[in-house]
Amino acid sequence: MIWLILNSFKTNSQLFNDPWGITFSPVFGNYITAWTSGKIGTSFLNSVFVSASSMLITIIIASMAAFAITRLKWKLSGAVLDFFLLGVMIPIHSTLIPLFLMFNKIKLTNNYLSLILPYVAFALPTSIFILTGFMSTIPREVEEAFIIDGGSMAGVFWKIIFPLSKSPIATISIFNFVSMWNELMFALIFMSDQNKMTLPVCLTRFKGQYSTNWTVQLAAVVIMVIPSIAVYLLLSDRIIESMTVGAVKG
Amino acid sequence: MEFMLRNKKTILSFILPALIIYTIIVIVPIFSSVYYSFFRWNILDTIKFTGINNYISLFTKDDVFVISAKNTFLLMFWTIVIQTPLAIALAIAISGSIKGKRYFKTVYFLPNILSSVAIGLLWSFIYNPDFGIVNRLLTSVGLENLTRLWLADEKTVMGSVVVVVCWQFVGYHMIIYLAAIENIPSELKEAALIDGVNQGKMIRYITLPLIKPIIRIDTILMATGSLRFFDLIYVMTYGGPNHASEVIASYMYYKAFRTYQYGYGSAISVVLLLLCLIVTVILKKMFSSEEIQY
Repeated sequence: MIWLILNSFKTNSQLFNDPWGITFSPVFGNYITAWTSGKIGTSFLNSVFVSASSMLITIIIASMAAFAITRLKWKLSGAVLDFFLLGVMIPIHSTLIPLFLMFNKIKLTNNYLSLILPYVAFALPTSIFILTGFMSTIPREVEEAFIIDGGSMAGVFWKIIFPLSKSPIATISIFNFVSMWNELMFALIFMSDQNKMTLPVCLTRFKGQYSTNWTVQLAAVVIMVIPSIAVYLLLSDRIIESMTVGAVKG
Repeated sequence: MEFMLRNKKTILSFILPALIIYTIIVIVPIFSSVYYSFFRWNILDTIKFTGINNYISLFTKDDVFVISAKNTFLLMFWTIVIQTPLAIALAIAISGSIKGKRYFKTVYFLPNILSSVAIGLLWSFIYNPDFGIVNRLLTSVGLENLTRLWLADEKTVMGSVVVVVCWQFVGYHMIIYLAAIENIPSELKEAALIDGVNQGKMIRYITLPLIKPIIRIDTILMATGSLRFFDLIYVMTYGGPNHASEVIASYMYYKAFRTYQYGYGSAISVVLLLLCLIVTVILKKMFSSEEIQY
């Protein structure tokens, strides 16, 4: 059964050429319809923008926080770390209604920020957890030497700790990007404007809009899935590692 | 040096951005959610304090909530019961140095990085009564009477969803078990081989006992994961037909954003939050209780 399904999946793009739908039309026609009239193109770019900026912001502020927690000396650092880790237990659904009402009040819905802020916030716990785990293993001598030579604390972070943490940062970037790229619930509720929708929301709309035009729907699914598969094939080991680390530790 | 590490301004400038965003977006809404859940708040009505009335009607009068809670637990139960043995079996099968291991790992894991929306749409095609391959296959082997409207039939809809969930995540759990199995020191297996232990006994007496802690952790992972289920249901069935495939998360969405009962929706989300907390606390306990010892 699994094999059958897997195979049916792998040949997904070939299924297009199969006349298994009643409305068999030239392949490219479907893609063009999907891309233009379905606004897949626009939402593709929206998705790229939202996920990439959320990912970048997460990397920067999560590593700054992890730096403060592991390298600087203050009494509450342990408590703050625990406070962040609490977030792992919280399902996004429980924040959905208050966030919606809040964003509505301050007129932030249909603004890219209404997605970027929650994506960053919910990516922080796992990211900080992974980064603190790594940063606490960096020997102190390196930064001591840097400071004795007259470097500042910001310098220590940007010139030493941040570059040294390359590998966990790559891990959390991939992990976060995949989940941000695929996120549906926030995107569904905070972005009702067709021109600002992300790809997953656009696809759910598509289902209604083209409910009988199966091949166009299939084309849309392929447009959504191809970049993920391409990236996956390029980085599969790294992706597998990052997603398992993210979840097992979370 | 010490002085610089203790500088309050430096510390704050590094920690505050993350702390502020996290507090406003994650922590504050949790409390507002609890607060809202004590109100009757429809889009037309004025807001009215009703105490725990929302919770009372949730548990005593609301049949759909009962269905969605039942479905959530069904989903949890079946995904655990189906995926655990399957994932372990797959992991054992591709552990060691078999040919094409990378290929299997890659192929089984792939669905995890795809969007649930795409997967949901894809499976809607597979289940489609007119041209979907499930019905086609049944017809071609002469089982026409088994063909049905998989996602539109109250009796088959949850089963059909469970199949997709397992398909999507089994590879992920397989990878977790694979890592655990490959962490078992090879001396143990070699010693067993020298003693003439066969493959079946090896699995029974060496592999399984040693990955037991991982099985526990992974089970809890599946459990919390299934509590948060929304995307696939939304795409494939919208919770229908007739709420037959509603889960707690999709029902909360329905109440709050389809019928605009924010207070009632908040009560549902609080219940969901509590369930997640309970399961995760159990998870934490298990993490600390047992370390793997060889």
